[in-house]
Amino acid sequence: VWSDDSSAVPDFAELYRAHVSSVWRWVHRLAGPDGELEDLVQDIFVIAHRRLPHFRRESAITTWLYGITAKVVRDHRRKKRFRALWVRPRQERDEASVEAQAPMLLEQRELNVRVYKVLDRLNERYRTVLIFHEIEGLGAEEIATLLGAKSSNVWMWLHRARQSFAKHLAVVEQEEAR
Amino acid sequence: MSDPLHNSDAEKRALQVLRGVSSPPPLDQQTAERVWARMRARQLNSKRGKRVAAFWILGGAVAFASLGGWQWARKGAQPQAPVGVTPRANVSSGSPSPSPVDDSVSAIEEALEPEPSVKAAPAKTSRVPGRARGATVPPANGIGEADTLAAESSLMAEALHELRQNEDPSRALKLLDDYSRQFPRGRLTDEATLLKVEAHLGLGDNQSALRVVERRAPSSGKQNELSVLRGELLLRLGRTEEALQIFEAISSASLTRPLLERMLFGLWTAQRRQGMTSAADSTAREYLRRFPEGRFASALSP
Repeated sequence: VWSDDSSAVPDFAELYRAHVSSVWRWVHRLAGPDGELEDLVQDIFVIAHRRLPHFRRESAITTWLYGITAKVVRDHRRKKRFRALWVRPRQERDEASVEAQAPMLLEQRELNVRVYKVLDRLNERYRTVLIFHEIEGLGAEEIATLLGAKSSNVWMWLHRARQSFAKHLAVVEQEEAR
Repeated sequence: MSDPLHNSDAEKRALQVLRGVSSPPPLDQQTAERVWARMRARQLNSKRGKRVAAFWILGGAVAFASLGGWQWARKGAQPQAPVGVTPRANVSSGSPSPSPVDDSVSAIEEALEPEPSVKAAPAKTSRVPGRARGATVPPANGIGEADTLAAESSLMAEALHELRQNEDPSRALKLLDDYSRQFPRGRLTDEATLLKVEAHLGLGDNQSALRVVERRAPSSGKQNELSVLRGELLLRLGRTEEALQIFEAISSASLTRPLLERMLFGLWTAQRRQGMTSAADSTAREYLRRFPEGRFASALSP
C-alpha cells in the first residue's frame, strides 16, 4: 500500500489501523448527527499522512491527531453554517448519513438534533469538553491529554459548560415551543 | 457563594438530555477499508494532478520566457515586464498548485501551522492560581466564584497528580479530605468522590472505597458512574447478589460507552458467580457485539 511513497509510509498504515476507530468516534461526536463522517475521516488522514514526517513527537500522537480532527471538523461546521445561509437544509441529506443507516427512533434522532443545536451555541472549548466528558465518558485527565491542556482547566471549563448548556437548552426549548 | 445553577434541577435535567445522545455506530472493518482505499485513490490522483500541473506551469513558463526573449530581441534593448512571474513562484518553490480535490485539506493544513504541539509552545501563564504544596486554599466564601472554582480545580489537580503521577494514594487522600473540608458544597465534589475511591483502592481498602461511594450515591450528578463503581466494589468484596441487583437495575439506563462496557462486564461476572449460565452467555454476546475489541473481550470470548 502507498507503494510510491517514502519510508515513513508503513508507519502511516500502522497509525491508521491503530487510530481510525478513535478518529471515527471523535468526528461523530464533534460533527454531530449531520456530519459527513467518511469524508471527514478521510480528510483527517490525508492531512495526517502529509504531516506525519514532520511530527516531532513532542506531544502524544493522539493529541496530534486530535488537533487535526478538531480543525477539520471545525472547518466543516463553519462551511455547513455558511451553506445553511444560502441553501435550505435537505432531509434526504440526513438520511444519507451513516448514522441514519441504522434504524433509529424518530425521538432519538430529534433528541440528537436538539442536543447538537444547543451544543452549537456554546463556546468551542465548552462544547468540546462537554461532548467528551458527558457523552463520550472521558475523564478530565484524558480530555486534558487530547486538548493539550491542564486537567484543572478542563474541570473549570466543564463546570461552566454545564451551566451554559442548561441555559441554552432552556432557550432552545422555548424557541421550539413557539 | 455557590452558583444558583449548580446542581439545580435545570442543570441536572440538561445533563440527562445531553447524556441521552445515542452512541455512534462502531466503525466496521469494511468502512475502515473503504475510507483507506478512497484516501489512497485521492492521494494518487493528487500526485498525478500535481505532476500535470507542474508540467503545464513549467511549459507555460518556458513558452512565456521564449516569447518574451523573442520580443525583447525584436524591440532591441527595451526592457520587458518581468517574465513568468507567476509560474516562477510555483516552479522554483517546488510546490506546484495543489489539485482542486485537495483545496479544503490544504486550507486546513495552513491553519494547522505550526504543528499542534502544546509542549513545544512556550508555556502560557495559567490564570489558575497555582497552589504550593502545603499552602492553604482560601475558603470559598471570601472570594469570587471564578477564584473559588480555580482554587477547587487546582487542589483537585494536585490530588490527581499525587495519585497518578507520584502514585501516592495516602497523600492524595489527604488532599481530597482537605478539599471536602474546604469546599463542602464544592462544584467538583463528584470528581473528588471518584478520586477518593481510586485512592482507597490504591491502598487496597475496598471497604472504605465502598463507604465513600455509598455516602455520595443518592444525590449525585454522576449517579450512573457511581452505581457501576458500587457494583464493582461489591463484587470485589464478594457481595455478588447485591452487585447483581445493581447491575441489573442500571442495565436499562442510558450509559456512556466506557460505563456500558464496565456494566456489561460486571453483570456478566455477577451472573456467572450466581450460576446463571444462560444469562451470562447472553450478556457476554451483548458485550462482544458492542465491544469486539474491548478490554474484557478475551475474558468473555467463548
